[in-house]
Amino acid sequence: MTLSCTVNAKAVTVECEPGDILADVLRNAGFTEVKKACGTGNCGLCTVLLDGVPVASCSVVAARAQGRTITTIQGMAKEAEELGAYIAAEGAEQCGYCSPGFVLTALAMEKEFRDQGIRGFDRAAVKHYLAGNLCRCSGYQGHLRALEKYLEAQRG
Amino acid sequence: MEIKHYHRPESLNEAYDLVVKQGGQPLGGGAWSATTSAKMTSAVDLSALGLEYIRAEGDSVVLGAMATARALETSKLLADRYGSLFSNALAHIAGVQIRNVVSVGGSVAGRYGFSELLVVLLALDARVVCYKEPACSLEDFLRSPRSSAVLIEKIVLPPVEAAAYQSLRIAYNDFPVLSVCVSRGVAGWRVAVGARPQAARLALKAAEILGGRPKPDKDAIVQAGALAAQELTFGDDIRASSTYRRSICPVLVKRALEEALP
Amino acid sequence: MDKTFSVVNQSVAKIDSKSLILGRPVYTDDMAPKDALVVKILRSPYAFAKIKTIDSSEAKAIKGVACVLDWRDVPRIPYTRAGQGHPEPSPHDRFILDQYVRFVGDEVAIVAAENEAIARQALKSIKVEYEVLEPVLDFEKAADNPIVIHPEKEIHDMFPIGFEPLRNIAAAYSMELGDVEATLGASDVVVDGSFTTQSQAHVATEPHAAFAYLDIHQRLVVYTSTQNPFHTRRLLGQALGFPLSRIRVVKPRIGGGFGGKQHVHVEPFVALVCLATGRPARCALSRREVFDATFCRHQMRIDMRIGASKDGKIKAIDMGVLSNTGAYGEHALTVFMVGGSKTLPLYNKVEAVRFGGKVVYTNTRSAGAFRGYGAVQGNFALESMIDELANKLGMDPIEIRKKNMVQEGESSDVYRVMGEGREGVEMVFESCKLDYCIDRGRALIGWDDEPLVRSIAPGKIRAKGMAIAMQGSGIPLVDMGSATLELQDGGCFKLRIGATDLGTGSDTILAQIAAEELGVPLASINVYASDTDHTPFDVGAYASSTTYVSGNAVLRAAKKMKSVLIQAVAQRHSISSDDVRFDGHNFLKSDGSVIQDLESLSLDTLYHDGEQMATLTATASFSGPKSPPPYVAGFAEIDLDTETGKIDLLRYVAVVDCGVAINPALARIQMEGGAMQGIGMALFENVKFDAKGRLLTNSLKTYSIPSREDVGQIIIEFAESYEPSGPFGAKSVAEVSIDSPPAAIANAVRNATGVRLTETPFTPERVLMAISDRGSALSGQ
Repeated sequence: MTLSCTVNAKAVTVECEPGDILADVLRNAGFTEVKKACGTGNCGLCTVLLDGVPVASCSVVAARAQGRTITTIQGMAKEAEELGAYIAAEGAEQCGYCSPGFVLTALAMEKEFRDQGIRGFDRAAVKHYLAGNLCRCSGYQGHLRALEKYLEAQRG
Repeated sequence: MEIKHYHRPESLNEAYDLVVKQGGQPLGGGAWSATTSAKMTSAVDLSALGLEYIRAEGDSVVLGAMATARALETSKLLADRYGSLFSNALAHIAGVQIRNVVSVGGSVAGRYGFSELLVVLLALDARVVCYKEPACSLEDFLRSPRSSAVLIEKIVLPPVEAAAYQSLRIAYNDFPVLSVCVSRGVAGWRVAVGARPQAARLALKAAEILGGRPKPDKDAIVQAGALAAQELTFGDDIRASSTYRRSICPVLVKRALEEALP
Repeated sequence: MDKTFSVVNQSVAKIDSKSLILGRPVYTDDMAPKDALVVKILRSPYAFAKIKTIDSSEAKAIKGVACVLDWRDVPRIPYTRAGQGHPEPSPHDRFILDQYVRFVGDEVAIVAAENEAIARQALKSIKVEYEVLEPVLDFEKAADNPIVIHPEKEIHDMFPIGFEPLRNIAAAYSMELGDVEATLGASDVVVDGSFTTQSQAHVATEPHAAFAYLDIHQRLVVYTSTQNPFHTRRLLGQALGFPLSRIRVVKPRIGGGFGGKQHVHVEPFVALVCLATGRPARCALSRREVFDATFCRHQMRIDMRIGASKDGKIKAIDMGVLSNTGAYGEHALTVFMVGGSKTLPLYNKVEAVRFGGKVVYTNTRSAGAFRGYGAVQGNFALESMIDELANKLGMDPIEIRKKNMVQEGESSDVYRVMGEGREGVEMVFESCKLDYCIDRGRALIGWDDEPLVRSIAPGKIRAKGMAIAMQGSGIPLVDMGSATLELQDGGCFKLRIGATDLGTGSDTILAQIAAEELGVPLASINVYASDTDHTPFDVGAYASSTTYVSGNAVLRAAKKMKSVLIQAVAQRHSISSDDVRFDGHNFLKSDGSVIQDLESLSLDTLYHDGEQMATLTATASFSGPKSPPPYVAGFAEIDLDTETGKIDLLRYVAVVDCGVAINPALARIQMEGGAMQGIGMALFENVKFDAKGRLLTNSLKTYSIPSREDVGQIIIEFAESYEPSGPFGAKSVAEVSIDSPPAAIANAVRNATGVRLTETPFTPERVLMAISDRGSALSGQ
């Protein structure tokens, strides 16, 4: 099938099979910032925003993206860089392989929390929202330190 | 997975024709279909039917088949009617990335043993509404043969006086080793046990001993747990043995009941 | 040790952080050529079988299939996939492909096709007829089993390692210092126990990947997610029978390793396809393949006996190990030996100590290197037993450790006797702040603030437990690292290192060391690493070696470079080099007057100096005569649900002596991550096979690694410590981080319930069964 969708504010048209996995289609189309790690929807590394909502792109058939809007970390590079600086200051990106999915989910979280009127750093809420973003290097504590500083800075 | 023909109908009638008359396979959330190597000759994507709603209809709450686990988890309406039941039960499913994909209809149709949602719906005495079919109880639906071609349109939740969910997991977002949901409605208590590891079942004897009392005494609670462990079957899987599941069943039933007490 | 630093001991961000966080294409599979053939592997569905016939004619006929290779098409050269020094202490017991398959997932055939879908279709079209053989699945029954897993004649060890394949024994070793039986006999108390650990999976988030192509000179270039590019090059040459002069191996950014990439995995397959077709070839494993068919931690059973006097003086330790290496013997001997050599020196004042056992083959996936490398298994057994001894003597667990543990300035005979696969080297522990680590951890966890055990609700007990641990910093006289510094125009330096950054930030750390010694800003150091054509030799990132071994090489190179610069300036200005010093920016005379600055020197030496023009470089290598251990004191606080057996880890405190942390933020993250991995091993990461040897826990749906919700808090602190032999006082932090959680958590459970857990992971079921067994035992008394 011909899949037409918007990726990072640009129209993208690719040939694929309807049953192909969105993560694979995106990677083949050059969006290699979408990382594949588990293939079963458990690790969060392949997270993209589908119409603004974070989804595991390894668990979405490509055909479902027809006519929809997809955002990868590159589509939010400015915001990602800002949050990323806090993560880098903690050294919490480590190998970095989980970073694009993690940062994108964290940015979606920030927006969702803002819409709900949650300001600043709510440790329990942050841990819960990001529980599906696994990391094998960092032990997660550095993520939380970075997010605490970042979200508190955003409050102002 | 392989999909030969992909359809995204825009009306329920069209979807009904594709699924029920032509034998197409509904694609709910698609979280599982995306990770299997199964072949679908005709996949019917239900995402353009406007079935994402969660709405009140009188005393009941109606869940569209395409409402996601995450929508249920964060629904204000469900929180108003059922307290933290849904957010407690659904919060552990992998991450938000999957909860934004998993659908109510897909969970019901899949009859997954591990399903947190099924044990809750069963305890709430939910009714399954398939398009152009009479509504049936979830219990009956789960007993119907898997092969019957239906198009699940919505799930209707009756009001309850009290409800609570308890589960035991080895890791936070792992499938439960055992899950229990209890509720008290007009017909009295209902006790459902899931992840046995087979699909959720009602513990009828346990419910019977609790009767319609809003506040059963301690003995009745303990007995209900023991009865649930006796009357249900438990199996072995990678997470635990049947022996272990049976031994913690009374604990989770007791904790759920205590949580649901006024 | 009053040192002031300007670049080291500073928490600077990783120099590659921005690219990583923004998802730039910097990992192997992101960089594979677009036109590369996709390589897929047909894997054995049986734990043990002989391939009777294999027919790939149908697969080869599919349009878009470039080649299909099976055991008949590859060189029959026994080799080891273990990335280790030469000669390898691992037996050469493996062929690229063989007529026999020895575990579910073992490679049967290689397919290369134009795309993924065609490759998949081709895999399905290969017809294999197997003669299914009865497998050996239980490692307790492997030795001297009538079923022999490796009867092939060509396989061999490289030097004596106790290799007896006809007995299913990959390696064996024993040693005794003093008379253990007599000393145990003369002890006032003796405790004993038997402990088992599971074959934990690494779960580096990036699955193994590699691609290969022929360069302009028709040389084979392999990009791969490896921890050891130089070993990979050597092993590839060995396996393929291909001249090393024609192989280049490059490591791009990699998504974690933890030992799991200290092996050759898919490199031979992409190389074979590339050589067979002349086309670029790529291969990236699926998560399931990583679980099924790459490496895991050695499953072990460890039998312990400890004897002590009434006053708590430990007199004898006896440690017997049975280790499961799976189908092939990668790291068999060395992991098993480290189980003793990096645990027993903790109690270095014993009168007698014995270590011994064997490593057996089974028809399960191959075990290999994994962070902790035997020490985490040994530590679980040893530190559990120390608490049992404390209990038996009625002593505080901290008191008994302090009375017996290693102290700064001491040594251990174990080090002299046991090396990694060979004799050890004597060494004095010049830095050991274990005392401080324990005291500080004790305060942080609140050891004395409330009872170690208290009931906080019906059915809920809060308890604490602790353990100490040690590791090493590289393998003495085996590991070697090198660095080359070159002055470039503009007054910056190119730092070329063979070292391998796994994501830990070693490229940054090594640049910090160079910048510190040269006195220049970090931004003046441009790092290029891990490329066998373009960087000097380094064994790679394993054995907690990079900061210490490669760091010392960088330090030496920087010292050399400084003197090269000074000599160049002296020569240019016809003054004595004794009269020149460099402040990182300017060259100054002894009177303080500026001669010239670094930038102008770089232009002079490269553009202006006529016949004297020269590239100023300095290369240095380091191979340490010792491996200074880092130390940790780990403390766990748990809530135990006595009705379900579920353990909630509220807090994990680890205070570490890693010498001077070159980059405290990165050291802290590694400690936190290592602790989490140890916690995963202790609590969650269960491994299950079915009766036919198929791994059931081969996805992240079935094998749970800890999420951020699984632990309350991990609290890390550093002891102030300075290792004289380390670069700027550094030791290591990579592995010691993982060692203490299993024993510390088990000791907390023991304190909570009186039950001694002896098998990892401590699943709710295991804990509940242990509690109820004890309950029934007590009521029967």
